[in-house]
Amino acid sequence: MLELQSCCKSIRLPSGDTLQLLRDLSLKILPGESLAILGRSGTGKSTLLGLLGLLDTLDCGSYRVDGQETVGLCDRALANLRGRTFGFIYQRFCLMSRLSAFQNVEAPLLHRPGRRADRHKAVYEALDKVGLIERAKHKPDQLSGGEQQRVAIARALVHNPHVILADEPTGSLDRSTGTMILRLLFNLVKEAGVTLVVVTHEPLIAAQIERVLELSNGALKDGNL
Amino acid sequence: MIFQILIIAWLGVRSRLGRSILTALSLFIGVLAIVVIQAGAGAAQDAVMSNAILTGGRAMTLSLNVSNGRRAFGQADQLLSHLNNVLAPVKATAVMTVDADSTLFPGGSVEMTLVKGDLREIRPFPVRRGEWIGSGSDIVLPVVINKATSANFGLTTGMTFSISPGHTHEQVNVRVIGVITDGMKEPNAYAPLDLTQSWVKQLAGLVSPKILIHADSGTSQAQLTGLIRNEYFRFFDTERSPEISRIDQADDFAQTLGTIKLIFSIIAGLSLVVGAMGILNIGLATLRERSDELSLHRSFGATRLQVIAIIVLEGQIVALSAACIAIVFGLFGFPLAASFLSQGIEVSLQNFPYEAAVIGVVACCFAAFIGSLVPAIRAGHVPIASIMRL
Ligand SMILES: Nc1ncnc2c1ncn2[C@@H]1O[C@H](COP(=O)(O)OP(=O)(O)OP(=O)(O)O)[C@@H](O)[C@H]1O
Ligand SMILES: [Mg+2]
Repeated sequence: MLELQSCCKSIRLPSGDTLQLLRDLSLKILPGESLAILGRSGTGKSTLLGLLGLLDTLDCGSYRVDGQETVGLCDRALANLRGRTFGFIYQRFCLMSRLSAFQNVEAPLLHRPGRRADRHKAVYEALDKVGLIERAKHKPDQLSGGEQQRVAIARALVHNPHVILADEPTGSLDRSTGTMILRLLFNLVKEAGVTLVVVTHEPLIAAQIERVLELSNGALKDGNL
Repeated sequence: MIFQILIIAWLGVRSRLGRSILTALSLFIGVLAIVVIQAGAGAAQDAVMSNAILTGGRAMTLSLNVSNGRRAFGQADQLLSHLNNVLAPVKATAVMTVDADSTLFPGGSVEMTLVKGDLREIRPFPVRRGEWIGSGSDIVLPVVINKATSANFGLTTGMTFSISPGHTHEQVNVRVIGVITDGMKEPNAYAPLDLTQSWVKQLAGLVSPKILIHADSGTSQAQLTGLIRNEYFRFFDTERSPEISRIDQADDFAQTLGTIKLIFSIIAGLSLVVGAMGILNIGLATLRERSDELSLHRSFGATRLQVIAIIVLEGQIVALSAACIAIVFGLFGFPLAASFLSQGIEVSLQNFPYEAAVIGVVACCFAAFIGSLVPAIRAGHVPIASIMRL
């Protein structure tokens, strides 16, 4: 369970001004829940997702992950919690271009103890789930956009996180590929029973998700209305 | 966990092989410089040093010239045994030599040195063939020749012939009993003074006998000189100061070679600094590109420290490979470098400078560490959230 309470976040602009992105924002996400966050460009959706994924820290307020307060945790504890709890999917895939699909999917597993054989088994299972087992040796630039995002999905799921945070996962794909990717993502998330938070511009995606929120002026409101 | 960090670092090095090799190159040169230069300088030092010892005597050798009066030889002889007695407590050795220049050998003129005492205590000639002059009492005079005499006149051990000693009208039958290396390019020969009394008598007044005194380390030049002077005065009851001079060049050579070695070490050090700056430069230049990758690793659960470790380890992998290859090159290049640097001087150069190799590896890793530290610490502070906005 993720619990943001009265959190705020501002960004210091190069001009010296501060830009208040999130104001007194509270959000509770239950285990296994799927949540879509909508909002116009530049409203701070990615920033919010970064906060949820412990990639960034709050200016004020509190954030509990599975009951544990994260504000004030040291780097080591944060890294631990981050690696254990979250899997990330980005708009631009963010694969390591010099590594093969296999090595990209293996990367999160290198940050936790485990035997090589188990690691490789998990990687092949994850690649199998996204249907890319025969592309394991390919580098990202030898894969199509949809395939790259499938590798990224495998990477986000390979270490069995509780929560998948997806920032516009279809933003770099054409509509039909995007639909296919989303269907795959929703299926895998349901299968694994994990929480999903997906940021998107597209109201169509939101239609498939039970809970939709819209971010505007630093606050969340119900997006289904 | 360390092992997995190592895998990540290794993947990092392997995925940028070209750049890693370029970085390794300057470190490679640095280590090679340390090993080969240190080896070469060491070999040259050994070579030149041992040559200096052969010609001028071991460190702290003094020469005392006894005036060349009619009675000089007798006096010198007595002084010699006296000195050997009084110098025993300071573990010094005295040897008497008489130069009989232009002694005519079959083939040409040879510088002949007549020796009383073990000259090899002071000038440790390696014996190439046969043996060094002992105290034989044959009718035939035993002589030892140097390599130049042997090579120029085609003489070797066992040969018997007659020579005409310089400044005399004698004909002496001699047998070559040994060939030695004495560090001289000119033909030289050595014979026992005791067995050449008849020509020594003729040389009296023409040539002054010399007493060489060598003291092992622990006795200073001033101490030794004072000691000899005192004994000289006591012995000769004269006002005239004896001519005492230091003849070994050990200190001079050690100093010059030390300086050369220092200069070479500075060159090696500089190339390592260049290597370190190369790592630093590439590390900083690629930080932008790398920071995305490192942010990814942190999103997977890597701590700041682990990210720093990844970058540092990458540098260490590159440095260690560079150093190992350099040492393999050094092992093969060493004999070449040694023979080049010690041209014409025959000294065995079998020992590879393992110490220098270890110093090279350590210095190389240290340089890489320094070079990778700044990019590593910077990488540790890259804001991870920026990955959301790539
Ligand atoms: N590190 C930063 N420095 C300066 N400005 C920043 C920084 N991070 C975010 N911003 C600004 O904060 C605002 C919100 O950024 P964010 O990426 O969260 O928006 P978003 O809602 O994800 O937009 P989009 O839908 O276009 O991805 C933007 O105006 C952005 O320019
Ligand atoms: Mg965004």
